[in-house]
Formats: sequence, structure tokens, C-alpha cells
Amino acid sequence: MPKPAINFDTYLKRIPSHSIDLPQESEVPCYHYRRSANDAWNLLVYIERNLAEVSVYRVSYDAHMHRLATMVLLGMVEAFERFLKQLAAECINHVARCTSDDRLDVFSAKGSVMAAHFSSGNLGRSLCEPLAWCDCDETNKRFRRILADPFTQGEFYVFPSHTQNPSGLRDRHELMSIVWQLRHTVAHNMGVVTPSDALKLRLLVKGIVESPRLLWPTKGDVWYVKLFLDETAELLNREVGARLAALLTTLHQTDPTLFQADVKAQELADLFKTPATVDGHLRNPL
Amino acid sequence: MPESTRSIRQLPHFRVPVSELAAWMDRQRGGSWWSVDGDRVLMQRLDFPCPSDELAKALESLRGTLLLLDSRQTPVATGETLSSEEIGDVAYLDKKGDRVFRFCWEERPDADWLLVEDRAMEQVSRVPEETEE
Repeated sequence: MPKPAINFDTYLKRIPSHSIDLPQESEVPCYHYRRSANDAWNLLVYIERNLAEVSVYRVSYDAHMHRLATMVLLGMVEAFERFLKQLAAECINHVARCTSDDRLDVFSAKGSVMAAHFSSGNLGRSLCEPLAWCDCDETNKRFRRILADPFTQGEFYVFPSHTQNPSGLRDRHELMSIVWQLRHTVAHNMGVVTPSDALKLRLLVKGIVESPRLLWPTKGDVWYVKLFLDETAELLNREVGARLAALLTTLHQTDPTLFQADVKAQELADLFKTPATVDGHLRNPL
Repeated sequence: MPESTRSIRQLPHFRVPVSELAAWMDRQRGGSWWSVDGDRVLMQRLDFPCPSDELAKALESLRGTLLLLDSRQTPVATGETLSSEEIGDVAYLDKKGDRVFRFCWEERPDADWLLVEDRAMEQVSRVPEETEE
């Protein structure tokens, strides 16, 4: 039987219109991450549970569950990457109009990207959304500049080394780099560990990584990644929120007309869903 | 669990004050792990799967009444209110022996959601190295 004659021009071009509203929690970065990571996890357990109710061919089932675990792992890492973007964008929106140094020169947005975001009036998103945030050093560099004290290079790292600050985020750089590399392998090579991937992973895990091989993660592997990302997102949300509040305090003390400190504290508390203090004004999330 | 496209509101169900579910969950000590699939409030607040005490604490902070699908062999519930002592009796057991509940909030128009036990996670969380495949 011949395959049907599909009008690709019609059917492929309508795919972008097949979309739904963003979830309500998408305005709050930590809520958005958590919802997406939980949804990804639930996909795995939902399929596993419901297929357990019916008779399956075991070999196919096992293979498909490994492939699903690979996809879910990627989904979780992408949720985390988006979390970093959202956090950075929100930080930019809070500091951009209060500083006159070159902190935002760490970004180099193209005119076409700016044009697409112009009507939204959201500077942070226009600078952050086009970029990849799946590299610890690049991410460090951007957050350090965004959250620097005025006219300094900054000392805040989201993935600090043993001697960098904040101390609460130390010892995650190496593990996060492994997660980014796994993401790269799945996203760009459909899970094939290439010789280049193997070399990078070998240096990170400090052990033998064979190639070419197909990544074949278990449900447990996915869970360990989720535990790590969940914990990292929670810590990062808290530390970035505290650093932004401290920076805004510095700015307000320099010029109290920049913004109302109590209003700003409430905005931060609602954004980070944690108590926030700006220039002595403590507010809790509503 | 019997699947249905109809909402719990249109099917035989019980009423469960969320405080009773919190009390029941609090009694599921001994390493029981749970996932919530579909509830907006719980899924933005907690990382799943999570231990029962964590979920119990989150449930304690909520107010309202849940409708619980009667998933027994012969479902006959007509909105009776269940206490924390009775919730376990109407759990659906899946093929792995995990307990599954289907809820919706009485006061909210949101879709139904699932509360699912994950005993495999309980084992993985105890001795990770020994459960590697």
C-alpha cells in the first residue's frame, strides 16, 4: 500500500499553533521548574504503572522504558536550564534601571532578537532567552555580572569553586557539568556517547567511559538526577534571591528614590517564594 | 485504577477533608514514598517523589475538601465523608501493590489528579548502591 500523499507544507506549518496556555505557576521560576520536573517524572511512573496493568512483551517494554528514561532525563535538565534563564531574566529586570555600569555588556543580544521582544517590554527575557544556559562557566559569568555591586566585576557564583562564594552553592560545579554533558549527549546525539563526549565525561567522572555507546539510563539514574537538580534549584533560588536583595539594598542606600524598599521586598518575596529583606524591610511571600 | 474520561464529580465518590488526608498520610511512616500527578498546588510546592511526612506537612497547610473516586470493585459511594481511619480501606492497589488514589478538589474546577505510592523509590532511597541495574 502506498503511503498517503501528505501536504507537508500545510501539516508541518500548523504544528506551532498546536499549543496550550502556560501553567499559572510559570511566572515564578522555582514553581515553574518544580512543576515541569515533576511532570517529567510523572510521565515515567505513569507509563510504568499503567503498562504493568497489561500484558507486555518484556524485551520491547524494557527497551522502551530505557528510551523513555532518556527522554525524561533530558526534560528535567531542560526544565533546570529554563529555571536559570528565568532567574537571570528576573534579576536583570530588577537591577537594569538602577545601575549605570557595564554589567549587561556580558550579553550581546542581536537586533532581530531585541525586535521580537520589544513589544513585551521585558529586557531580561530578551537578553536571556536566546542564550544557552547549559555551561557552568558561562552561567557563572553572567550571574556574577548581573548581581555585582556597582562598578565591580562581582563575587557571586551560581556554581562556585571551593574558594568562591556563596559557600552554600559550592561543590556542585563538577556534578552539574556531568549533567550538562549527559544533556548534550541526549539532545544532540540521541544518546550516543561519541568519542568526544566520552573524553569529557571521562575527565569529569574520573573513570573509564566507553565510546561509541548508547546511553541507557535506568529509572534510578533519572531519580538521582532529579534529586540533584531539585536540591540545586532550591539552593540557587534561595541564594540568588538573597544576593539580589542585598544588591538592591546597596542601590537603595545609595539613592532611596530609585524604588520603594518595602514594595521591592514584597516583589522579591513573591518572586522567590521566600522571605526577602530590602534595606531593612522584611516581607513574606503572599 | 479504572480509567475514565469523566470527572470524579460524575462518578461514585467519597468526600475527604484535606486535613483527614494529611492525618492519614502522616501515619504512613516507615519510608513510604509518594508522587502527586496533576495537582497544581502540590506540584509547585514539593519535589516528587517525596516521603510521606513531607507530603503530610504540605497537606496540613491546605484547606478544603477533596472528592475521592470510589475505585472499589463495585463502586457505590454517594459522597460519604471519610475519616483518616477509613481512607486506606478504599485505596486502589495496582499490579505492583502500590496504592493509588484519584482526587479532585470540591471547591476548584481543576482537573482530577492522582496520588500514587512508589514503594520502589522507598527501596532505592534506602540502599541506592544495591539497587543499581
